[in-house]
Amino acid sequence: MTRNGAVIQDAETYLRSLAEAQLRQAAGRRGSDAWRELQSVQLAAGALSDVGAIDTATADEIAVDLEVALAARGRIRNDSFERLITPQWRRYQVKPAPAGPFRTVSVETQVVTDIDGEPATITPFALVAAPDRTVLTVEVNRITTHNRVGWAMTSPGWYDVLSQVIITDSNGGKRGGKFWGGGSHDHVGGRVELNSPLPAGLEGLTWVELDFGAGAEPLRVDLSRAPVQPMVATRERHEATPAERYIDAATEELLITLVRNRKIGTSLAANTELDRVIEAFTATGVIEPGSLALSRLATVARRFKLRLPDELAGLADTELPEEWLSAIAAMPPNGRGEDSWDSRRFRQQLSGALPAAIVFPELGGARWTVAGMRRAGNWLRMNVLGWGVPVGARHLMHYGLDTLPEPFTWWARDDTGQWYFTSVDNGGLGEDGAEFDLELTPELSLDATSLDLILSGLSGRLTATIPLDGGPS
Amino acid sequence: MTEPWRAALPPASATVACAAGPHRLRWKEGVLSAPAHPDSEAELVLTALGGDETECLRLVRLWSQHADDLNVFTIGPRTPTDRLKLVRDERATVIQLTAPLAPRRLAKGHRVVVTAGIGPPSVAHVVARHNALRRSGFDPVGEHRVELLALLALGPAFQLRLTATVASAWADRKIPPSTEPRLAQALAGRLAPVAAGWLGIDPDQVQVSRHDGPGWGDLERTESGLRATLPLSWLASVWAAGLSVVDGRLAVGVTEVNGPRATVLAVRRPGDRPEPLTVVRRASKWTVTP
Repeated sequence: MTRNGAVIQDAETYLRSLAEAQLRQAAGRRGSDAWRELQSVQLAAGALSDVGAIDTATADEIAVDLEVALAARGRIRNDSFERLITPQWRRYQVKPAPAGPFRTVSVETQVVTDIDGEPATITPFALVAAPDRTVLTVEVNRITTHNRVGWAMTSPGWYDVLSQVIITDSNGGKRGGKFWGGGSHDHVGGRVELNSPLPAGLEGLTWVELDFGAGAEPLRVDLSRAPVQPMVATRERHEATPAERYIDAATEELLITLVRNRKIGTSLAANTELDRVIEAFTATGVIEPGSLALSRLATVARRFKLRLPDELAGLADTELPEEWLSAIAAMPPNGRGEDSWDSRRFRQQLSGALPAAIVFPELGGARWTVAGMRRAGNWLRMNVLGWGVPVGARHLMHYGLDTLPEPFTWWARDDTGQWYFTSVDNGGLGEDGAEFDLELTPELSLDATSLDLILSGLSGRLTATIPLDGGPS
Repeated sequence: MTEPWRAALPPASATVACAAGPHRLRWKEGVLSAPAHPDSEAELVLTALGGDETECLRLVRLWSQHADDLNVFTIGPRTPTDRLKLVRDERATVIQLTAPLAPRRLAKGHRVVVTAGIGPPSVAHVVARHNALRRSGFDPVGEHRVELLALLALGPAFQLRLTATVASAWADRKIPPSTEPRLAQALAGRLAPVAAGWLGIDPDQVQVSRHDGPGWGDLERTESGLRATLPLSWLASVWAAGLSVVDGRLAVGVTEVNGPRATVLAVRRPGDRPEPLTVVRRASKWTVTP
């Protein structure tokens, strides 16, 4: 098949040709490090699979066969054989979101305690009672400054205190939990997963009590208040094709990097792996060469003076979405800059917990909750937990979760009209679901008193309004 | 009559650490045999009854099982000099990988490891990971690949012969559409380097599809490369035998093999009509003979 004189290949043929070309390229180079060639195929395979152009098993097989072929030729380190046994992204079989009520409750209180002789605060953000498990989002912060070397990371106390929490409910039930998370020498954050779930939706309970031990008074969380329903849900059909959504999501990721760092004058390939994806999408016809999504990407790239790949060079500038323009316009001229470890730590210590307890209705088979929020001035971070979240091949090529799981996008807009990109930090994605911290770019306007959190999926869009003044959410 | 591809490939042998000591495996005219096990059928019966399977017979069995394994094309050699750095190491413990369903049948102390040639092997990690996954009910596919790697570890001569075996197995089949991309890849991956050397073109500019039906196929020069249609049998009878380019001509088929002499159909340029060419093999190299 041809389009505008170019041969359009089916996705499998394209991927197999690409794999052969990359194997030849690796063989023709000195040295044994052919990860670049392998990743090139993995990336194209993942992207084509994610947009439904090829079934995941076939894409997976092509990438793994190349990996075996490279390893068998000594072109990648032979520890890669470990991964040949089972393709990495076949190891996950995502569990569907459980049926039944979900409920999230803000805890809104802080416990001052002593851990290993050091004063510290424990901040339980919110309790999420899903039909299959109950999760408490929580963090511990050291109060005093201290020499960081060899303290928390070598001390089990920080993790133990979170795993030793006892949760008692108003029916007399007692449950322990296990902490999952990580942190630094003066901050540990994550979630405590209860050994057995509380009743789904906390039905039949009037309170739960959290006892962290370590001499701290137990915290009682009143459940008798009617569940707060902050949701304003609207459904709008999203007309873009999966490939266009993929490109738009990638462009948003690019924009976040660019507005933060102002990495102008480099090539698009230097900022993203998008050139390979674009080539794969156009060569296989899953996206029209003149697609608006590609035009938007080209427009963004030109605005930041990025060198464009051939597939985009001929595309004229187009209008960018209002939210992108709003977010770009709010950025300082020199970018915000990447967060240093110290600045993150500083903000973490200064931040206060704000109530945020949102349960989104089912969207695209997934259930999403926001379980707590931290704010320090114009810095804002939300704890997000998801059930039934599909694992795209793109995410499984990298350990951990560093971008938002597709096909979902998250945007925020405050009550002054300012739009914010969102990005992922401390993310994880697996068969049980997704868990990540959501951050805003640019930084939160200090004039804002509420924030609309807008979650979009293939089947629609949901909006939740979060007060920023500390009131109940 | 022996098929040309079987006759065009000379016999090959490899040493295998079998239960009773080092044994030879022998390939001749398309058949892999274990001469040290003349009563292999009786041994197979014993194995079926729970006895240990010897390494020789295990490899013969695997050869038969993988005789139409399309993964041979994706993992195996792309050119006769494309070296897979797979080694057989009797000290290692990967035997569980290659016969996990019947570990009690395996000969003790005779094990095969498949590893790449650089860096310290991490076979123990592979085994542990694989066994863990197997316990969890995961993955017959990885096991299948590891079996194949054990066969490819028999050496370059066996790699070419296994490729020819698989190509021959598929050459006469009715090919389902879903398999076409894999066969096209098999042809393209092996014709591209040949054509690049033959015409001085970029191998990435070689487009290949499988020829089905009478005749040998077609070669057409494109603006920057070559468009080729060749039958799958080309891999068995021409490519694996090292006959791809002889005297500056691309062989597109083999019509007859008689000892070290073969008659091939070859073209000097894309678009030419193929002409018979008699070649003779001397020290594994084919040269034109009057």
